Amino acid sequence: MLDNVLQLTVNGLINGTSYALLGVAFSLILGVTGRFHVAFTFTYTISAYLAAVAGERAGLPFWAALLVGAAVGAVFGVLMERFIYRPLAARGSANTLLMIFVASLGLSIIGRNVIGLIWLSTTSEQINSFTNAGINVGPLNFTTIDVVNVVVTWTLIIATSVLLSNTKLGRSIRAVRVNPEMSLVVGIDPGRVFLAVFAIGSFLGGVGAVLTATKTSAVPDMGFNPLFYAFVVAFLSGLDTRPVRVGLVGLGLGLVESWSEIWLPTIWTSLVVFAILFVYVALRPVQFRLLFHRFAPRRAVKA
Amino acid sequence: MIRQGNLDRKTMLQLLGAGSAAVAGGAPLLASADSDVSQIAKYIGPIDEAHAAKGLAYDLGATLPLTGYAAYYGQVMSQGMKLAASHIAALGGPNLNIIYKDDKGGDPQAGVTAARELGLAPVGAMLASYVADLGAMVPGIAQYKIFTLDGGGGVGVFEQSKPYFYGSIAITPNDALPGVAKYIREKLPSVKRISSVGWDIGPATQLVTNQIKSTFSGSGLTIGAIELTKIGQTDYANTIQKVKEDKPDLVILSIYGDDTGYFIKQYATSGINKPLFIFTHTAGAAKIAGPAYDGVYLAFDFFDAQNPPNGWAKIFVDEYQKAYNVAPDYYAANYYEDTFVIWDLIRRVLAKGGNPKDGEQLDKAFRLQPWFPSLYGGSPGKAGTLSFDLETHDVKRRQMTVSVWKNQKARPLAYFNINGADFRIA
Repeated sequence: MLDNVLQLTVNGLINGTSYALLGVAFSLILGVTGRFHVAFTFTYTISAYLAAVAGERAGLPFWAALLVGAAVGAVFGVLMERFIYRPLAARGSANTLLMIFVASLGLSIIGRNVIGLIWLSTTSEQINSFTNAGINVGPLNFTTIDVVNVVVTWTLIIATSVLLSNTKLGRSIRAVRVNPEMSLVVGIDPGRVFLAVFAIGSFLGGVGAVLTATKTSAVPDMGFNPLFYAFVVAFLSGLDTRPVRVGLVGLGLGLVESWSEIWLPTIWTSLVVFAILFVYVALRPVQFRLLFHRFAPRRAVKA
Repeated sequence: MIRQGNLDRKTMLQLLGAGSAAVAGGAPLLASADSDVSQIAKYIGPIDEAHAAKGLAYDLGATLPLTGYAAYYGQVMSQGMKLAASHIAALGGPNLNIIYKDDKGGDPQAGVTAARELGLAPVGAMLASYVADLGAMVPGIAQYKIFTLDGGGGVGVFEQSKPYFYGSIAITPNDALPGVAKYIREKLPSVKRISSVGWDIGPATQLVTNQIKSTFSGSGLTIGAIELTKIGQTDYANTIQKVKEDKPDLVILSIYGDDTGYFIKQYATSGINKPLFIFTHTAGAAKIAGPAYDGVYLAFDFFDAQNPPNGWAKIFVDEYQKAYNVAPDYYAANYYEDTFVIWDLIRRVLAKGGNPKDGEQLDKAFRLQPWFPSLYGGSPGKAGTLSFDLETHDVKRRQMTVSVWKNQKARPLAYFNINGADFRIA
């Protein structure tokens, strides 16, 4: 029994680490820009596929392929903000939030199908440039990609935290998050900050996608489940700008989900995540309202 | 990105047809000039030219997993059908217009829509999959009287004896379990405890697990953990942990499609190191699992493309390889063979002066004589026989094997038939 609890804890830490990175990426985008970026599924998935192509077809080593994949995700994120979300937001309609949500949803569906068509004959792509091996420590088992995942993810979360706290860009992001109009007054261009936020968030999500695809494989639908977890983590963390705090929420979610398997069949564990969300919403009505306040239509104001 | 040997992009786009459009066969395959297609008649028996339906435009429904995690199945199934359609036309039969619908690999809503659309089209015959999309299509099949063969999942344990619906593949995993139990007893005597991992397929799950329990406990084996997974799941860390906790001597895995590959990949690094039996094989799953696929035991219908059992099967293998640059697997074989079953029924109905586009008449002709030429079994000079049980609507006999995967190939270890009949070690 103890071995089982310990192993589930390890699994929870590993899964929670993945949720942490997704949560940081998504909450950064949602918290700063107010865009409900459902097409995160596409930037996530295309990162994994392009990393696979870079590794398997172009022969790049794993780390270079990972960077290529994540960078491609970042580029797509920026393009979406610049050419789709921003023009919609600029209309200033009362339905801006809904319009962006619908556009983003459409992009995610189109993106999934385009990937499905491009990779029609194979459906999935493997990232074999990383040799995954099992590691046994006493009764505990995990793999080398799990170790890489934990190290890379927490390094990135801490790096993001440092970027937000100690750099000019980070201070601009925080300023825009608090008040985009006021930040414009003090010489910060919210439009450029939005682009930077989409680049950073999509890059982080892309890294998570490549690591996940290395463990399993890249498939067209791989982005939808992570979006759900990213949303839950962002929601539970209250769209906090402190990445480490958001990351810890993700870690906690992974642990609770994994520990629930002590009592529940594996197939029901995703319900635990819903239950947590439900309890949170039920017990924190005030914060819930604040969150919606944060979703209020917001323009990328330009001077 | 599209690889040679698979459906070309144009054809696949036509297949997808925005999910609903009828496609008149796409770009039809032509039987290669130097082939022995004309020899097929020699193996499948005389074809009465007067009732062969030469030139008849005939709509044949095909509800297959064309997209999603199980798209591999749809690809090989449709390739088998397309090749059969070209051979049937070359043999003086009808021009089959295959109307593709996408069941998305077990999406019941997609299946319901497909059955309705094909019923309203209307088509009289259909080849379906995923136990007619996990049972959701079966009421529509009965309502619209569409004679239907499921060569991918058979009739399963939960859709037996349903009107107009028949399975042309052994029920997986159930039909293979007795043979597997015999193999374990003979060749893996140290195995005492078995863990099972299988798909959650709704209410039918219990029927599958009951059979697993009864088959193995009847063979003196203990069934430990029975873990269920979601269709399309990719992360099995916690499922594998539960299996590990059960301390099994052997694990049986009744999940399908790419899911198998993900499980095997993670199982290989779990430290369990116990034999793993699976009941399906796809190139996609093998690719996903990579080197971890070596050593996995496979138990299911065995179509031996390396050594085709009869002359017709040899022509099929040669033609399939020419058309798609890859050897056919048993799904391709089943859907090829099933398309010929439909042609056989068309001929029977025409011979009696009936309307071959009427599913009811096809069904009647089927039930009068439920056996057909088969790619499986037989001898070099004669095709095998595919026969159906009119009570269960399952196949009566099907050659199956326990094999082990080694060096990109399945090496047969034992042969058996449904319920473990005719079991013999290879």
